[in-house]
Amino acid sequence: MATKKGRKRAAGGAAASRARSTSAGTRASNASATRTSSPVDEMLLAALERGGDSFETGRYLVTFKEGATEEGIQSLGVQGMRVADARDFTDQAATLEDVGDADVVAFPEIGVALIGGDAAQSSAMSTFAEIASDSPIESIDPESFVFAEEYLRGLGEAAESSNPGEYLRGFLRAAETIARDLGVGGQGPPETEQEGVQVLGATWGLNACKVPPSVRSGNGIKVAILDTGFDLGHPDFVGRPIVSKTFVGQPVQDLHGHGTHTTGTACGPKAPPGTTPRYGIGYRTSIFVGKVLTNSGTGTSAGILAGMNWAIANRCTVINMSLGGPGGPFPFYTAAGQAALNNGCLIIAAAGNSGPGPTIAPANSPTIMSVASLDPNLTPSSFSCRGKIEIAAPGRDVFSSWPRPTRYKTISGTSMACPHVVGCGALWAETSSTLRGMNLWNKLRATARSLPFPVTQVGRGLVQAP
Amino acid sequence: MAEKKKLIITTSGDRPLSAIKKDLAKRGFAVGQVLKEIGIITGTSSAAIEKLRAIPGVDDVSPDESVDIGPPDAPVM
Repeated sequence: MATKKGRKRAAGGAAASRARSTSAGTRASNASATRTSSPVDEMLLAALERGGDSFETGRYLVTFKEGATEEGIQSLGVQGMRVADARDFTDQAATLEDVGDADVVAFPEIGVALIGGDAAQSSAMSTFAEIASDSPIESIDPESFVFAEEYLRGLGEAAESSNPGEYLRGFLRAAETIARDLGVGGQGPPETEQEGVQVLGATWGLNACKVPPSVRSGNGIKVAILDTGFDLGHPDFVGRPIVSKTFVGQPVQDLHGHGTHTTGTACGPKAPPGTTPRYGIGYRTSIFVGKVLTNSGTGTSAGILAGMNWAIANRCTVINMSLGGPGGPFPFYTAAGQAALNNGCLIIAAAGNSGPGPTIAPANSPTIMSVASLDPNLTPSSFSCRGKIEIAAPGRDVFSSWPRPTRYKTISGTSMACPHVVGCGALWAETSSTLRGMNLWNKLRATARSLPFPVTQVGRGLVQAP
Repeated sequence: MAEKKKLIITTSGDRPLSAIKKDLAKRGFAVGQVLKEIGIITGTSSAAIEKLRAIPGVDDVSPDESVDIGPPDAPVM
């Protein structure tokens, strides 16, 4: 199991053997990250580098025997460790960042001391291997990471049953994002430029589409997302009406991420928690998740058609298809698109990412609306396909939801442009019950913001919310 | 014996799907799904595509293609 929390007498126990094995010299770089004052994120990084299967921080908690705390603290000092005592801090509020280069922080009120990884790995640690009966030390236990309950709840089964390394990575990414948002920890440039551009408010894409000033929410409008499924437990979607169905023989739960991202843009919340910017458009829409692509991102035309049939049978007003393949236009997609329009539905598809190559299927069918991608400077994205294009939308560096534990991710593609049009389509549909099918198609194009580029690249221009 | 192919039958709407389904079955087409909303029948067959296309009410017979959006860490999706 992940958390080896069992208290062990150090003799032959996990703590001691671990200390010995990690003092062999190969862990020198990691050890520096497990001083008593290491920021949590440094320790998380070190834990990831160790690649182990535990939630251990690399530090150790020494518990003193009852009544032997003073003696125990002194004994650590005798062994050459630099001891910081919580009683020397105001209200005994010793924060680990305050103790400088101390090896040990003692908390006499609870009879516990925290020993840094360096000190634990030094030869002094081996003296703990045998705890004499007259030792003031009761036990030595590896310290474990502790996560906020909300986060653990979000993790659910994944944290318990699968790889904690992935869990830690996800947590670290979240911590980095928060740190950047708060403007702290600015040591060098961010690892990837893409993930550092979020600001409070709304994403660049929503702003470009004039979504934040819109009074519309897509209330009561059914939106279908035919994709890799959805993270049904994503905290940003708690309480939302979600109908889901799989067409690929796998559970709807999205283990890829693509479907969670496109759903987020089209249907995400008005006010995500904390400093997360608004990234979703139709925040009161009813969400219909049709899993037509597997967790590895593959599918077949037949499965996709089954998903389209389902979405139309449910009379979803807008249907997002951020998928496709070469060839076409195919009669079956054209027929499905026509059936959608006949039933007051509108299928909107990604133009494809093989630009400057031609629009892929199903977006190249005349009955399906094709969406090109724009960069933040409102020029066509280099990857965006050309040819049959009805409209354009933000597709470069799009921030949206991602399956837990990552929660959010910034990615690019016409797949990300498509749900901007779908979301805006839901807002328009809310304004009038006559805006369905072909009427909605025409409205989206008529209200698009003109751009100084050929219609083969941007269609009628940048989609706009009502 | 020709290899069985996954096929997608697009109908014109001129005939009931049930009638077309019967004609397809007579020609050795194993019906997978009948998608009523969009007038499409999927399944597998080793019959020549031309034979199936000749059935009244059938607009098109196309092979089922695979679609791939790439892995989660693809640079562009």
